[in-house]
Amino acid sequence: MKPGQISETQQLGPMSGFIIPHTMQISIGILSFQQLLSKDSGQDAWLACLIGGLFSLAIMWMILRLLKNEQKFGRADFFSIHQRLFGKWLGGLLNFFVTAHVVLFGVVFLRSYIEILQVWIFPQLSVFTFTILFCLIIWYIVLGGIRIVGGICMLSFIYMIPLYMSTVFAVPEAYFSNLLPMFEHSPASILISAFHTTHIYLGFELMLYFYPFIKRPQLAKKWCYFGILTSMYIYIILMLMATVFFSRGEMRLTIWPTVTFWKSVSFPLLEHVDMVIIIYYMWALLPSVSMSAWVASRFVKHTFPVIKQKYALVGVLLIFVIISVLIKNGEQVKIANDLYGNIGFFIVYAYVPFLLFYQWLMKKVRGKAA
Amino acid sequence: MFWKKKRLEETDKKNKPQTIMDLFQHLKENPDFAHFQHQGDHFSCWISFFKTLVDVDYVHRDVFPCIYDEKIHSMKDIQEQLPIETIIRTKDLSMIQSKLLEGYIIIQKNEADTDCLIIPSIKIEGRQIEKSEVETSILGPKETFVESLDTNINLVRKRIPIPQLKVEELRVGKISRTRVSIVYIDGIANVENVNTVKQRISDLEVANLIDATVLALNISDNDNSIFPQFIDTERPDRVSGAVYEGKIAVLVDGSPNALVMPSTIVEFFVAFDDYFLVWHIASLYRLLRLFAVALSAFASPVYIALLTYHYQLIPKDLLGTLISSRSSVPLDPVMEVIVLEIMIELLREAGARLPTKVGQTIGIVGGIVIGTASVQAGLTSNFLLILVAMSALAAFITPNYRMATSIRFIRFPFIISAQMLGMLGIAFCFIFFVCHLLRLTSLGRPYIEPIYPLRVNDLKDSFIRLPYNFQNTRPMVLRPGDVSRMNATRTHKKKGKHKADIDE
Repeated sequence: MKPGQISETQQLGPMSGFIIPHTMQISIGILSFQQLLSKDSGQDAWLACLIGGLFSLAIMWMILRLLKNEQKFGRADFFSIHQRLFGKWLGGLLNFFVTAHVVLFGVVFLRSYIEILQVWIFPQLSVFTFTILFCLIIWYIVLGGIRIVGGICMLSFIYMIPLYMSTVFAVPEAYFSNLLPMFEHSPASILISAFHTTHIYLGFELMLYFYPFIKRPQLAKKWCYFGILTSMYIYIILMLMATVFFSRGEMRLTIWPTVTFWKSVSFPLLEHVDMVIIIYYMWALLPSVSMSAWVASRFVKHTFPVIKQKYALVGVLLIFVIISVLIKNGEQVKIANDLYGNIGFFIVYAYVPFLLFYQWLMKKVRGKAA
Repeated sequence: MFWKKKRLEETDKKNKPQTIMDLFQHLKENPDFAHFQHQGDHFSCWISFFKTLVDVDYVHRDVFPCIYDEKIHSMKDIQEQLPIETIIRTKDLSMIQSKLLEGYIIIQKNEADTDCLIIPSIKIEGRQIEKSEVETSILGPKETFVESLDTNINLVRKRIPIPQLKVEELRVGKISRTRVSIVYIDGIANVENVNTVKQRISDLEVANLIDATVLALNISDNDNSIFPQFIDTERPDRVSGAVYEGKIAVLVDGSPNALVMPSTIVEFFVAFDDYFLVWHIASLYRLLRLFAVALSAFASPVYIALLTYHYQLIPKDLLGTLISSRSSVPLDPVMEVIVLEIMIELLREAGARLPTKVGQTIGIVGGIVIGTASVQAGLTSNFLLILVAMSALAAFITPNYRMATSIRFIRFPFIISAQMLGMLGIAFCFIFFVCHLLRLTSLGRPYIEPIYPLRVNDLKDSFIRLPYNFQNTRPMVLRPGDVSRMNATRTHKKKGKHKADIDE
């Protein structure tokens, strides 16, 4: 085996190209995105979902292209690309920044989930206790390697299916006329909403980190696009559900439309389905946070090869706990969410295309020199 | 520490016999050791054996008459004349010793000669092949394994009458040197799996090996897991079915259980009866078992969580029943559950240890008397009694006993975490167990295989069992040498059923 190559027992199947980016996208945003989107484009917000999804498809293409070009230079991941193109120091610095975003990705989701728990179930829940317990589980998962993280993604995908199905309960109480008049809003306001969708579509760019762990990347390609299309489909359905279920005025006041909708569902032997689902929703959180911890600990290992990943992981999780505790209230959670979304927008829509261009440029320049 | 080291150094090195005379001197102390000189006209020799280990009838009837015959003049003559297929002639003292203790007869020219003839005459004492008691079934074969390895191999071999069936024997145990057989079909079983099993068994450092389950605990992938990683079964039909599938069976001398490896978690919830029923019914039974596991693990923890933290979740109609049944109970929900769970656990353990007839009585006394009495005494509520009894019942619906005990145990962490964090605690506990299962391997193969890694093809015989004509490939998780079980197109053709259209 060549140095730097990953043994087959540690690799993921091509199907993970579908599962992992998809489950990374599906996380806490699902519960609240409808309000944010309908602020600017009202009943046409589903169009914004569509546009956001199509844009992320294009970015996915760029990411895959970038990684494929990189394959002949050694390991094809974000860290190696940076160090190859920008040298050890600048590359390392860039690695630090992108990893910081990934850590933010994990922490923001974790903290937002705690916020929801505090509002809906346990008002007195201690952030510290919850994050410690959660991080212990994340530690146990990531210790098993990328395969186990992939397994968590797979199970999360399976467990989430019933939740999507639950939108059926909205049909009897739906006012489909809420969707009319269609295309009332100006393209500009729809584009503003599409910008807000970045927050929910982000996550697929993590492909840049675990790509070398996919066994046959050529086969995984179509799965990647399919994964994003699936998320897009789910988001559009949920957006439509919220639009037809809530009136415009209600929507403006509801922070978590999906949860409020679940509150209206009831079964003969079970009431308050919303509480059960919020707890069940931990499964949507697990893949994102564990992948984020995996990437961050991998960054430490890549930058300082002396430190083993298993020790780096403990440090990363401690950082998770500290940041989560530092975020005090709902207002700060919102700020952190916006920060995460905006940086993510920059990385995905500006930096990745630039990197692809730069890679091409370097190929031309170095190619002539050689 | 000091004393430990000293103790370890005190092992008896002198006791090991150096010459054959030492050995005999040593063994003569045993009253059942026969060591005597045969003085014939033409030939005389020393004969030694254990009366309790050899088949005395056989020795008197077939071996001695031949040795005492006048045609015999030397050791070589015995070897030629005696109508037994394997007579070993050796000078190896350790071999002589081990064979003597297994029930062979040793014949020497002079008492001090190391040159010996070793004649097999082992007496096999053991119980008859009986009906299955642990893994009972209504349909299908009823035979079970017994404590003798040779009988067990016979039971497997007669179901797999092909030359490719390999039976390899290893010896395990520093002192006991117990015979362990690895059974697989050459060409179907994955070579890597076979090598892993062989390596794990031969690397094993134990003093003695009593049972196959002990071996399973010793060679499992994760020693600290509460989930068994290899299936142990007492049914030869199940073993041969698994061997046909490409698995490896391990049999241990003196154990009525065979191990089947590698196994996935789904197989622990498969009863062999499932294969004797129509596929819809078999699939329904499997789903029922899965539901039973969930019920058994979650029933009492959810009760605690709902009553302690989330009373909003209880519907109005149910609330009345709950209040009336709990109104006289002074304990917290968690104490109530723990009291009742421990009571049931006591009953179970008492039932398992007591002789059958007493056990039944205890079951009735415990189940009815203590159950109703504890409700009347106001120790527990009626509602919880039903829940706990049902979940106890549900735990033992699992066909494999070791898995059933694991399922029984699982509820206790759930109960504690439900008390601490309510439903959130249950969720945490559940996630922990799922992660643990994800990380488990059996012989290096993923433990929850058809789900992750997702193999749609292997789902045909997991939670549901599709009809036999869909079962034409062997499970992918085993990486079998020969993937296809039978011809896929021919399995779908039914004889005498060529229908092109309605009424044609």
